[in-house]
Amino acid sequence: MNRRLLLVVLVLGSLVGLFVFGTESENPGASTFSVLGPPGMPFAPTQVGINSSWFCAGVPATSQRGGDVIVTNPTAVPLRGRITVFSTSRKVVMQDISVGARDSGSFALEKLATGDYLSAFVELDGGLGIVEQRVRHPNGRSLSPCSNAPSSNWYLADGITLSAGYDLVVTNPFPDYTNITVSVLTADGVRTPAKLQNQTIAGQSVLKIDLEQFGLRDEQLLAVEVNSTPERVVVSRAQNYYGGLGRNGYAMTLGAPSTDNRWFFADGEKAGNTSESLTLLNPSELPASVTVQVFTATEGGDEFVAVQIYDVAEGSVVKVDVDAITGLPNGRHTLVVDSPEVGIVAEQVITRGSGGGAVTVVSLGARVSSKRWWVPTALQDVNEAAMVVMNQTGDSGTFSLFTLGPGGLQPVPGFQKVALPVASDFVGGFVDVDLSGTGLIGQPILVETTVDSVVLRRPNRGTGMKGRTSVLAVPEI
Amino acid sequence: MDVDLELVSSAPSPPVVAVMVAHDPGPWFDESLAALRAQDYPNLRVLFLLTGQDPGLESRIGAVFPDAPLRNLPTNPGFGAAVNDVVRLVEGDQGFFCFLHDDIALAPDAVSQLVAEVYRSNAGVVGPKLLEWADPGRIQSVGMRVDRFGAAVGIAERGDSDQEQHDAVRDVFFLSTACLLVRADLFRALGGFDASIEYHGDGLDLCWRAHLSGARVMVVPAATARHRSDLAVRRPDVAAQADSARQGLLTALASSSGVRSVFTLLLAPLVGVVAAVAGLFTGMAKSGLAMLAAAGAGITHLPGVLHRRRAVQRLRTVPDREITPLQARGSLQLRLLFRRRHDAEEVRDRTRVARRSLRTAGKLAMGAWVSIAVLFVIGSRSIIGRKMPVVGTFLPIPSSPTDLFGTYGSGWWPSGLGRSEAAPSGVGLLGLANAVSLGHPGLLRMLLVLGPVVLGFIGMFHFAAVFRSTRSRVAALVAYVVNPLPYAAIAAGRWGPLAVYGAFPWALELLRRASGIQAASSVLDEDGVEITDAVAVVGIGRQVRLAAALALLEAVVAAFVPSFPLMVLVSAVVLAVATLVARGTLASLAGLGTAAIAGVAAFVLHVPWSIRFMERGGWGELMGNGEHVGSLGLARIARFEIGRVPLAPLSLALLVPFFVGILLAKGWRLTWMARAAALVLPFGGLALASDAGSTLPESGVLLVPVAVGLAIAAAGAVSAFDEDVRGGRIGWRQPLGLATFIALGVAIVPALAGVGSGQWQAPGSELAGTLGSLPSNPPTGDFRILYLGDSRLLPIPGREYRDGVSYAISDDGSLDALDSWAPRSSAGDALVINALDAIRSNATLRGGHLLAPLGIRYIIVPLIDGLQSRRGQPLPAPKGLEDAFSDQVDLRRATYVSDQAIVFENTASLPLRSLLVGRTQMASQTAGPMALAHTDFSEFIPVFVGQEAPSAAGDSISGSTPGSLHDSIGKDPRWRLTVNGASVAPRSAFGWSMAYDLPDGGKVRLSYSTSFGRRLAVAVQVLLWLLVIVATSRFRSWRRWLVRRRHSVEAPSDPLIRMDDPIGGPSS
Repeated sequence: MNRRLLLVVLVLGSLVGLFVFGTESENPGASTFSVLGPPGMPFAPTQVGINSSWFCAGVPATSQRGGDVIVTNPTAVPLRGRITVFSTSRKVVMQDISVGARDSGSFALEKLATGDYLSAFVELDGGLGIVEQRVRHPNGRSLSPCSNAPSSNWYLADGITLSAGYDLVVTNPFPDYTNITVSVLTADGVRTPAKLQNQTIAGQSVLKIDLEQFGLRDEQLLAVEVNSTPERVVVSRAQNYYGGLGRNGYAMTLGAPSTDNRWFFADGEKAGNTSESLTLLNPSELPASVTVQVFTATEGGDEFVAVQIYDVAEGSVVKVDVDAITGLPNGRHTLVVDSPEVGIVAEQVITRGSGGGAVTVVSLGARVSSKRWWVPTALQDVNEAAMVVMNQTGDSGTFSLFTLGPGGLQPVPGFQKVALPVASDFVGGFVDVDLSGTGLIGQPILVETTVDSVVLRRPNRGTGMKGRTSVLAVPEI
Repeated sequence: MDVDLELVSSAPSPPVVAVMVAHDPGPWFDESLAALRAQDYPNLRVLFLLTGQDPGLESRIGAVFPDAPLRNLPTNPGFGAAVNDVVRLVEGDQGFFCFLHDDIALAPDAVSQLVAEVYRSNAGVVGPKLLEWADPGRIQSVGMRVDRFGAAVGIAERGDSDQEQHDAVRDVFFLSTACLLVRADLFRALGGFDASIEYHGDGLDLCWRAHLSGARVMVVPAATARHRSDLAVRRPDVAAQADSARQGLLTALASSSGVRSVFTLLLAPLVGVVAAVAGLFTGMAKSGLAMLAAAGAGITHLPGVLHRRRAVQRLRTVPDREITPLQARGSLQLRLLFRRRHDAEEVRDRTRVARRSLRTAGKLAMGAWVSIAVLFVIGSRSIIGRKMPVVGTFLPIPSSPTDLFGTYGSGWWPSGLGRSEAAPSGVGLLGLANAVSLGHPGLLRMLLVLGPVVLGFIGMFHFAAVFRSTRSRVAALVAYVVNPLPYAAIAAGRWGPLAVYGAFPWALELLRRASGIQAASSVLDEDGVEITDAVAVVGIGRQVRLAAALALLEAVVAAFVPSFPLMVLVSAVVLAVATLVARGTLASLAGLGTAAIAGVAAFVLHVPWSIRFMERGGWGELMGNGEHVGSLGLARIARFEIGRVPLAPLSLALLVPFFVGILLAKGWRLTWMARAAALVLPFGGLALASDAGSTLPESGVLLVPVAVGLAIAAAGAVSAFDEDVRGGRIGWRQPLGLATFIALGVAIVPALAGVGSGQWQAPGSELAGTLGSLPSNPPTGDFRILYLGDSRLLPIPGREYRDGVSYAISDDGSLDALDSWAPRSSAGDALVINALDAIRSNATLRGGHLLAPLGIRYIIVPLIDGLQSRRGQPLPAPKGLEDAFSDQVDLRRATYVSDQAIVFENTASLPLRSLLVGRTQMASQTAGPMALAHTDFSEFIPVFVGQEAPSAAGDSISGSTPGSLHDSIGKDPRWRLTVNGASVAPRSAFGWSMAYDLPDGGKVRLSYSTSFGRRLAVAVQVLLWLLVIVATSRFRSWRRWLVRRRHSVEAPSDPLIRMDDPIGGPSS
């Protein structure tokens, strides 16, 4: 073959090859370090790790007030760990703790440190274990699981200062200072108190912010957003209700560390002496179309499904009066709040009359799916509606109860494979668990379901106060 | 006077022994013999010294001189060394030696005239007027002048018509050895020729010594001889200019007075630099570089020069002031360069038109070089004038050569987490370069960035000389210069492509020489077909020298770009294949062998460091461990756009000459087009494969051969246009040929557009700003920095962690060039990975504690490096990284840095070296992540702060604070701690690092004991490098020394000729 022809053939062949196999430029994509989602609701870890960390909301520690950190060890070996107590007085106290196998330990924070508020950071070696805090307050006890992670953003959808005290409790568990910015949404719009913009919080300390001192008095609706930088924080709300809007009692609750698209509420009720509302906060920059569904189906009962759609503008809060939903019958019900496009925060406010008084419970909805839920802090007394188990699915299932004792998990007689109904083709079926007569006092309880569920406990207020609060159980994830 | 002449003429003729050295002469030899036979001098004897292998030579001589003595020398020791044997072979001092080359034809009265003039002028050394062999009407030489540097130039310009304008007898500084009549007693007194001079400079050396001894050296124009003077043809392997310049300078240094020699030695490098630079602009770079190389040889051969001086100065009877009037003032070399005189050898056979063409070509080359130099300096003005930005791999160079040598010699390689292993040879080379720069690391860094580019330009121009025509050379130069690759590499902060850009043309040039591929003329062979390749036989000695030079080049580049030798080998393979495809010569296979040998030698030169490439994972390390500039895609690869280049699409015009050349070229030019294609296409494919993620060198490195191939193609296309198209019939070829010139003009635009930036679009020092705000050697103790983030953004080579996330570790302070070599994996890496796993999976929020024993105080997540990620187009941080690290309660988010990086400070970190006390001391005996997570790391006292010397540190520790001295390195028995001179046994701390329990304080010294094996390895390595350097330059000296020894042993004890014997006597 002619030299030139051979060369031309080879060159053309090679060029075709280069064009065929040559890659197009790829847009630089993001690499991935971790796929952990944003912090959500407290959960019980199931994987053995190096250690697990729990950030508690904080407890008041002035006269007649205090609180405990309750550590539950579901494992067969003693659990070691440390409690680090941060304080508004900026003193940091660390104490080693130990909890026996399949046991719980309670640690009173006011005995470890002093300050208006004390926050506990609990680390458990090995990773397993569950931590909650319980406030002892003259106006009632308030139980809440501790958070698994701090966050840069916290949302508290509900709140009032009309005949009510409102302390925002911000804990900085990191060694360095951080700055927070507090934005408050009221019925009149957004309020940004100057002193709460770039407010510095020293490292490993607690900051109490009495909202009334920042011109937020007599507010009937008060949603709070806290952003921090550079470090993350833990934010909670201490509300002491003195009758404003009919509310009463004391509640210390963690904020929501992130928004979500779906919230489950297992403890709705319509009755003559009960008022119930939902507070929907949309902190995003997009308007949200929020669907509220109410389900009344119980085992063998009637079924009522109401669907209401609410528009929640960007950066606004909307209050939904559940009692006013047309056709909602008296009695117990569950609610599901959906905002498929925009993440929101939804809280339920329910005030129940009790012995001539009333008790108000403000609680975040559940937003995870799990088939195992722990009631780690033992119920002080048990009664006919000590717990509620809500079906998260459109399939019927069962649930079983177990108690944690020295011998491990023991099935509770009469509560094995109890039917968990379906409210509709969708979600919302629930069962009120009547534990009266079971004697399940002083023991952690595990609820195991065959379908994804939400479990809520309803402990008595304690401290001689009548009525109950409601607190979500702790899901295993 | 007349009476004296009569007396001379009436006296018996003194004996003359003509000594002719014959080395495989050609057909002309018969003419030489006949001319010698025809001498009219009555008392002439002839002695032949045969140094070649021609078996028929004796019979040829015997046919003319049946009784003349012959002496066969076993090898060719060179002319001077060969004729020195006359001292033994000829007895008697009352006569003359007439030394002759085998390619000279004396006029019949030449010897008579020479002898007469010796007596007339009382001269010691005389020589005839040499005329061109083919054209006796033109002068070849009437003696030579020389300057203080030993550079010589003829008194008459070679090729001038002989119009008797040089026919006066005159003293000259020296004469050609082609025909040299020397008094026998003088020759013996001088000790003959310097046998170490093989080809060029032997006459200068002999004549200079004759001057020193008081003898006159004269040219006798009445005596004439025709001389071929075609050593360049007979011995193409001898680098005439380099050899001449070197030997001239060495002779000058040995023969001048002491003070003059010192000045000469000091001035020579300056003249060499000026000559080299000026040579670039005048198209005479070779002679300029020869001068520069000679200046270098003056220093490296100083011991030999001193030895020669001792012998030469013993001969001195006259001071320098009586000799220097015969010398030229100043530098002849520079005069020649600035007068733009062309090499006489090239000019001699040319017509007036040809001479004008040559001058035009010279102007073209000079114009091109001046333009390139001006634009390059303007385009690099910010890099030259200001501080060089710290971007990409352009890291600062440590300022202390001593530290670099110390690091290289030590068996402890402190990079990363540190471990006992051989330091990269590049560390030693950096130390050497730093020492040469007289401790100016900034200047050195600038030179290391811009220098390779300039070397690449020169190398390409040098290599393109294979095309003969200056237009083609300039086309190759322009195509290489305007290629966006080097500027894109600067913009991308990639040093690897720059190094290869500078070295690759030189490597190809060495391969070409080793293959014997020569510049070809457009001549037809016996069949009337133009030749497809021009080759010359390359002797084994030259092969060795070229292989050594290639090995040296490869080894230097491989110290920083380990894949370079492999690239050269692949180039040799594809070039050989292309040559076969183009039906060129099989000689290219010799280049393949040379490349293989050089590659192996380069590997050996880097042992023990290079052994890592043979181990598991070595291929990845050899290929640069995934260093890349991101996925570019076919279009950007084709445009060489590995970094920012303005108007880069226009550089696609460089492909036009490639296609044009293939379509137009004929003969040997088509062969070169095939070779160009062999570089462009396979390496283009490899660059694409690298870009797609294959374990290959980074695409920028692989694009260099493509750039070289396109430059060769440009030269080939221009050559084809000049020789195959121009002057032919008008048709499609003419416009196609012109397209080459248009395309080159278009391709210049991107390079021109890049000039405006002043630093070729390189960004400012982005991450360096962040690092600058971190403390250096703080009182809280030395520390390490963990770089973690997108693999494309790490400022130093790292280790892939997962899903495009990599990490790297450095010591505190600024990053420097030592961080350029990725450390090998060690047990400490497992701790890092475990900690990252725990942080990633939320298994702990005490990640800082897990990193504490490693001395990691800062975690830097690069966001903007100005290269891959810019403020306008930032790469996002790896998903989940910021959240996971922000959750860690023992990490502090540093807020004082800019948006270039996220910085976390580990509040639990231990210093690199500290005295642990209290609970921290107790905890150091525990191990495992769970224990680490709740260890109290707060009780320590920093020690050895700022003592980052790799092998030793000392401090005083108060006697009242006994504790455990903790060293954040993996356990290594070669580290030794003494307290007041007493050794303390180490123990493991935190399951990885080392601690020494100190019962009391005192003077504490921590030192590393370098093994004997490492010392031996360094010594052997240095020796090997020196051997290769010697092999590249003075390989022949010791070989000739051996030959001379053997020759002297074999010399006969009885002389072959006795001068006193009458003609026709026993020895005649």
